[in-house]
Amino acid sequence: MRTYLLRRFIHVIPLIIGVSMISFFVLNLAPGDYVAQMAMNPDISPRLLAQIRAEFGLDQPVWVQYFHWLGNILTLNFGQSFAFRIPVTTLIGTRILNTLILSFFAILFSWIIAIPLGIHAAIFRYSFRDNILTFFAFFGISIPNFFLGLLLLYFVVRTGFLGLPIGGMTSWYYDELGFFQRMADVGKHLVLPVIVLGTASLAGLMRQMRGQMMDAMSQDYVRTARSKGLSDRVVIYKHALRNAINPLITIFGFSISGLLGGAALTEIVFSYPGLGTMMLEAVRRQDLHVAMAGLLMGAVLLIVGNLIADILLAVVDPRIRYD
Amino acid sequence: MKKSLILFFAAALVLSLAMSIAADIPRDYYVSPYPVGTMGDTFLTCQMSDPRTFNTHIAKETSSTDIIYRFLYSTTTRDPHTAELIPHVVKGWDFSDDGLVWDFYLREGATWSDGVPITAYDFEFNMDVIYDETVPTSSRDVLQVGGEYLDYEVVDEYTFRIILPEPFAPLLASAPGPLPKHVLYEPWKAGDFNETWGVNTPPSEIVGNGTFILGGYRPGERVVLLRNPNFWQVDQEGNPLPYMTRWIMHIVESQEAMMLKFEAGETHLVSVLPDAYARYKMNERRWNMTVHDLGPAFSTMFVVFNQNPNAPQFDHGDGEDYHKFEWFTNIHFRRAVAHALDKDTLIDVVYDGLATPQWSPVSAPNEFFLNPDVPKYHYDLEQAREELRKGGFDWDAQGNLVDWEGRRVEFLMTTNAGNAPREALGNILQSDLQELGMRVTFSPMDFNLMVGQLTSTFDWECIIIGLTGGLEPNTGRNVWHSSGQLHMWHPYQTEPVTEWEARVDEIFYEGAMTVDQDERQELYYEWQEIIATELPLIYTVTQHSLVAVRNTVKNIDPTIISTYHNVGSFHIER
Amino acid sequence: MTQGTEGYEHRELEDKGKVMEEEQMMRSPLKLAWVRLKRHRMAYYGGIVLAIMYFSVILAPFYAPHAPTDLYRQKSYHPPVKINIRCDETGSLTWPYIYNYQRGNRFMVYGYKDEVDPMTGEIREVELDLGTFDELDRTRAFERAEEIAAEAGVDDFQYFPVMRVWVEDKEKSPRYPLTFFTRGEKEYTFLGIKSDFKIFGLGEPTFEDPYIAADSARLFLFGSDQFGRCTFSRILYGGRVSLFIGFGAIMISTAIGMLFGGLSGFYGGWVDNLMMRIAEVFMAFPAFYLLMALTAVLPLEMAPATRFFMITLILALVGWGGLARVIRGMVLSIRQQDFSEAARALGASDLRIVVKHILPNTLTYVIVAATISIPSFILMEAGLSFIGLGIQEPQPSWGNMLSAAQQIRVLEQHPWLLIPGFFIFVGVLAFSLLGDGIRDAFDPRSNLS
Repeated sequence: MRTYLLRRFIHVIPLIIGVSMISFFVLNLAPGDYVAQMAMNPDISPRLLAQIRAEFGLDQPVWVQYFHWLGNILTLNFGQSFAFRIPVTTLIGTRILNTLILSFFAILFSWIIAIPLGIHAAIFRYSFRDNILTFFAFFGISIPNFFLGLLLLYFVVRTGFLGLPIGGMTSWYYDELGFFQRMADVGKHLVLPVIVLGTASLAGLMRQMRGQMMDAMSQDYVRTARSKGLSDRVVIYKHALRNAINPLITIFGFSISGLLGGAALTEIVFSYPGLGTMMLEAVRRQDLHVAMAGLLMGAVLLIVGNLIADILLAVVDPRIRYD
Repeated sequence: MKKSLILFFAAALVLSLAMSIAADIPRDYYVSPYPVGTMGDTFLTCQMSDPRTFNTHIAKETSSTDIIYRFLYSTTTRDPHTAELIPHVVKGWDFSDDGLVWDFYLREGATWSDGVPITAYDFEFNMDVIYDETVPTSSRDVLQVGGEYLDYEVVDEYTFRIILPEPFAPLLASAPGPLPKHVLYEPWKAGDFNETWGVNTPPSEIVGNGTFILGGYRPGERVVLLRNPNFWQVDQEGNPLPYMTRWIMHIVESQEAMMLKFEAGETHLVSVLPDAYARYKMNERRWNMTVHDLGPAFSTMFVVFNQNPNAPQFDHGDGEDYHKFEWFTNIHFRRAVAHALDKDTLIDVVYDGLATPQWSPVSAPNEFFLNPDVPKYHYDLEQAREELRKGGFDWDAQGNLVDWEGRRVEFLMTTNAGNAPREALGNILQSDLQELGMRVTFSPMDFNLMVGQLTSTFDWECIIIGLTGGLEPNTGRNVWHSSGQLHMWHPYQTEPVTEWEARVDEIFYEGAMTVDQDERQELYYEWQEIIATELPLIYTVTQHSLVAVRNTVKNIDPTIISTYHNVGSFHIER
Repeated sequence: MTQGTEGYEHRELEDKGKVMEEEQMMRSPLKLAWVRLKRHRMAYYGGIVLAIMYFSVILAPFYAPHAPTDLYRQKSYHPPVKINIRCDETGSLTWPYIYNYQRGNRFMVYGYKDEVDPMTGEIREVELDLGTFDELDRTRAFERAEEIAAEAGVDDFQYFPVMRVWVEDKEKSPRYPLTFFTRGEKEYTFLGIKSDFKIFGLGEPTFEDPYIAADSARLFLFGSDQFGRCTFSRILYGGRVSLFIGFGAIMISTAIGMLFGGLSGFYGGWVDNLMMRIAEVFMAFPAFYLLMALTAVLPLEMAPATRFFMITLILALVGWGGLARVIRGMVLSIRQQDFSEAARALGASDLRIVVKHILPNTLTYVIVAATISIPSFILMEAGLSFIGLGIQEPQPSWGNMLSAAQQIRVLEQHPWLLIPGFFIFVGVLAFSLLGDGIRDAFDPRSNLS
């Protein structure tokens, strides 16, 4: 196992370099650079533009810029944001946390709903109930996230439903609240985006659970248990479910990989202070170092997610050995 | 010793009256004419995006300046109703008869938010920073006359002097304000000025002289402004302003979302899109608010054709599309396009009637400089055809427009994707030009890409874009002077190519040198006449600025010049 | 975006691929799958809905009353026309017809009533919100306001116009009958043939329309947008983009994936190792950010069709990595199986083994993967349009039509502009159900048969 991990870890390095190289050049493929868009401002002279460009090193060839950037990364220096003139790590830090909070609850939401529904659908497979559940599960993924978000916002504005806030992550009086009130405040803001994000991954998970459960229920040991005269309840929840849920654990690893990138559009709709809004802005405005850091973060999470999935797979399934 | 001095005396008179009411208020404090209100509320608004810096010389975008201008006030401001330049941080000014020596008199007793007096040394320090070539500030280019820096000196603690090499009319509009020397001198000397007062600076380290000071910033969420305890304005009873304890600006990425937030009762004020005006008007009573139509705003929108012979596709006659250069430089062609521009439909369809046709480069609120009698091109496809015929164009058997060598007239029109009014104009104009027999491809593109084409690669044909106008025509120098980088149709000319461009260059030179306002008006009238005749930019319509305010907010007096000019007097009715 | 789910779907399919090929030895999986699929009711209906959708969008020119980019700008925000089937005067059934619409006003009515305050006994005036009505004629507006006030039991009332709306003009407008198998106003080209045949359209009015030609009645079945473009026609043409973009993307990414994965699995060794690392690089990209960066780069001179193709290509580029890995796995396992060893021993060429044994296997996989991935591509296009990087106006796609309708105003006043959203919804739902059914059908573990 240890050697396996070591090998995987060594694989990650060229992977990261590959991702970063392609990202860097794709971002530079677009004509112009961060400074170019300032040119539309009548107050800024070409001389000033050149000065700012030199300051950011944007007057260098792309190759030089890339290796300069790569060199900095090796010392864990992610560079400065052109737009904010502060270190990228400072800029991204809080936002990553916010996005992780949102994604975590979205995943939790979809699991809590999808697992019971999946089991239920498996027990009543191919019945009318199964069809209805399937239909509703797919209902969620069939509406584009941004549109569902807007509909929910509109609904809340017109009905004042539960007094839910319109976008954001905290209320303006957040700083004056006690610890538990703060939790409640953030929770209130999370309701709508979590619903939107959660419904998007609900269907896949539920179908997965249903499949695994059906699988488990057709296994010999379940039949044996049944023939021993155990009640359906015991058979389903004690024997089948235990075996069905194991493979799902690996899925959790993959969910981690989707944590960062998946929420971008939802964040924009709900003015949520996460990574998505900032990344969109950074890619569009070619705030190079920020965009690069974001892309790299996403890539690292994907890789780590895959790794965790593989390890979990080995843990729950004794047939798999890595060496 | 003109108008400004009279103003100064008038102000002094009001001030001395105020003094008799509250004796402990410094004599030079400004007294707000608005009714007395109550203290201690929170004002809630929205703004479009995150501030990028709190450093006034680094800020290049409104999302930063909108906040910086709340805590750092400048020398002059505009009268919210007449747009006239009036004293702000200073109490008045004075200039020599030749217009070269300008003295600015500071308000004695006025302090920074940390209690340190604002002195002429703070003005001097700001000038030092502006002329420091390592600081990427746009003020440096503005504060140059004929390529020379201005001289400045501290006369005494409360008098600051600027000495011009030659008369320079825009000085007052762009006169730099004070910068807190006691806070920023050290970092500047250490060479860290560009990184000072960034968004990661603790707000307590940032001092200001505005109504509010920075109280906090949560990225992507909101900016918190706190009451400046040492603000130099008082109400008529001598109570210190502002009344509001806090001003929260939520950061909300879209205007639709801002309106939703307002409708849910989470904010006090929101700017309303024209197509939502009717809905807001209808709900005025229900939502307990008032919608103000402030009239045409400063933003402009125009169509521009590439007339740059250096563009790669023209290449002085060697490029493959050189014939298009010939069309675009043909004045009849441009006039035909102007006649094909259906402003009424645009106003009707896009702005629900809440826009005004624009014919000249000066924005409508700038009444003093706006020339109302420039040539106008009304929507008339017959006249457009007439112009095309005059220009040497003709139609083939299928009704396609062809030029003098039988080449079919076709070109590419673009604008930045996501800008609804520009895209709408493109759609409408495209269909009208097709009616005239042209083949126009309209395809919006990414903003950066478009700016790149416009300012550096020049490989474009026709663009719909806009600029935000101001009150001082000279700020458009970069657009109108033939050497400017924003002289979009043909930038960076070493010598003006056409006669009319030469004349515009002259006007901008003279306009900056002339101090007499009436003479300036005449000069800029002529410039507008030339532009409307030659149509390098074909102006379209200007949208009205609409703002909805909760009726609980008192003393609010929004004008097209400024919504927040008297924010110190705002208070909430309980 | 459903990024979170894609990963494990590939993983799951990878496992299934291995089981599938075992079954292949025994009987045709396609035949078996078809039998199973037919018994999967939801999938069956999903398939029928999709068949209808594809059929209509391919034949769009015959159904669409207007060209998708034609503007009737006097008819901005026109509501869906009401098709009358009863004669107004007699009320009896008649041949369907429509009226022309004119711009009228929506009026708001407030009533005022004196009320005695129960607490203080004071008399004060209360304002009552009596609602709104739409009317063409100003004098009639007064009468209607009066009626409303009378109904509410107040004498004192106030009414004023608040916005302009379209009202059916029953007085001055002629009747336009619906006609079938008719000719349209403009010619179109379908498969290279010029024609003006339409399945349905508007016939000659009963008398000459008093309004100028540009204002004459239009058959806006789903209303019109800001520029007076026919929403119904745009949905038909836009559906071509939305329904085929996923199809195209999956085709291309499969082609790349098959080639890449096939070669990698076939040669094995260090080639395999290197190629898989490259595939992993592409899999490691946060897909949506990469999409954003790439679409921002697309040059402008592109014809709409080319741009469509490029976006498809980019979508494919984002998605091929996972496919390549799955296909490589299949190739690897087939190569090692007895029958291919046997085939090789019998002198069969590599190519023959690939064509005969590997391709059929990947085919079943591709069918499953395609139906599962297409919905996410449709949604991605919509997402790209939402941030302004998808198919560009004036070319319609369901995505850009829906994102153009992201306004409160639309929700409240012009809800018909949300119809494209309904089509995205139905299309994605149908694909998901079908994909689910197909997956079950190909799954040997399912006990349907």
